[in-house]
Amino acid sequence: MSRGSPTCCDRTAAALRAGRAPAPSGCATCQALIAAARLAPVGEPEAFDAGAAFAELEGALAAEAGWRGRLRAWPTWARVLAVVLAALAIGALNAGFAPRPDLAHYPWPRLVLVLGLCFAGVWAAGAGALWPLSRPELKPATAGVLALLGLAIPLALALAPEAAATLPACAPPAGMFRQKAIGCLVFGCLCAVPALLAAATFTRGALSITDGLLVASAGALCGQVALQLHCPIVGAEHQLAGHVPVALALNAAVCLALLLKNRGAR
Amino acid sequence: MQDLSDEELMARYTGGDSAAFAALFERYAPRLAALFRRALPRHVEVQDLVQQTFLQVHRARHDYQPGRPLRPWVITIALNLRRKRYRTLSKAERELVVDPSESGEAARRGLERREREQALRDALERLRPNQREVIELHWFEGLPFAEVAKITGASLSAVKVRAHRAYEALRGILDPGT
Repeated sequence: MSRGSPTCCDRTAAALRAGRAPAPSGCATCQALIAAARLAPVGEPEAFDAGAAFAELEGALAAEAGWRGRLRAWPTWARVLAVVLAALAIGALNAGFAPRPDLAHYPWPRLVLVLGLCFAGVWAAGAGALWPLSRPELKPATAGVLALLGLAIPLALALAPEAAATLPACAPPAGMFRQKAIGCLVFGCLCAVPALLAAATFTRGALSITDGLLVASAGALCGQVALQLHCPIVGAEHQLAGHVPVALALNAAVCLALLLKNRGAR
Repeated sequence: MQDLSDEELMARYTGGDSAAFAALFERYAPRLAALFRRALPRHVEVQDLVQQTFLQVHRARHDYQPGRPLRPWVITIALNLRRKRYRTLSKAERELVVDPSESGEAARRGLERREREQALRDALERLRPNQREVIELHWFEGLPFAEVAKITGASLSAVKVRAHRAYEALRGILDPGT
């Protein structure tokens, strides 16, 4: 049986809906359908004033003519690409204007792998955040995994074997552990803003908490791109204290913003 | 416009013909309203949800692939919106709210109809969500299993198994004597 050809159950349902007797069938699903259909007739839809509803809708459609309406009407692949490009722009700015001092000595294969992982994470979390309503809803487990990427990738990078510390800048100066960690946390959060803004701009409806966590995940990984290109400190303690909490801070901020927004909407 | 298929209307709309969108709205709105009424309490603004569905159709118009069946695409949007709306309801809000503005014979007929609808809604409510969706799409919306599979993101065989179990369960709930 091909995926597109009607099954015996489809033919039975069509006959019942048209008020015809269905063809005899030995199919157990058809038998169950025939029995259930007698008890649950389809009936005519209730009256609906489509004219009045469409008149109201036209007002909302007129508002879609603005720049934001045009941006969120982009195809989904282009909207997700815009989020990835925001992260790419942040990475390019850091590499160009504020690169880590050990960039020339840092093992390139590792940097490529780390950045590749971060960009893949931005893409995956961005795709989850901008998942279109015209596709079957993301399974909760999938959405959960994507929302955790913003935390899991920096955590994995922090716990991975340290890259070679070739310059004095690769270790935090004595007594400045906390300042450096807070500095990276703030810097990572600020560098997440373009991805957060892009995701918020391109979303097509009100964000749920799950959507918000996905947006925060994409933002956290954008911040991570910046940190990997900017911060030379390779120690796990610094990364656990300064890089990993970017995701936690963004999750908390996004959830708080959504809760306040929802409360204000009531 | 009447002679054009849904897909042709959508193609015209994405090409800039707003009359095609109005024709699609007229064609789909009553069915979508029924889809929302079947699973949401009566106090929920069905008209608002139908409008939101078409607003999303408008926003997602460049995601639509010309030539693909439009109906499953629109119904997927409507079902996703319905799920989101349902999640925002409190337990108390999910209970039936009878419209007190009706009176006399109309109210009695309305009440009977609502009682039947409520019995069916309760029965559907007692099914697993994935079974309920399959019944709604296959029986109430008249979509073939292949399209139900696309909308729900499940395999064709999984949809058939769900449908069999769902129809059996629905019969058992609505007529416990069988």
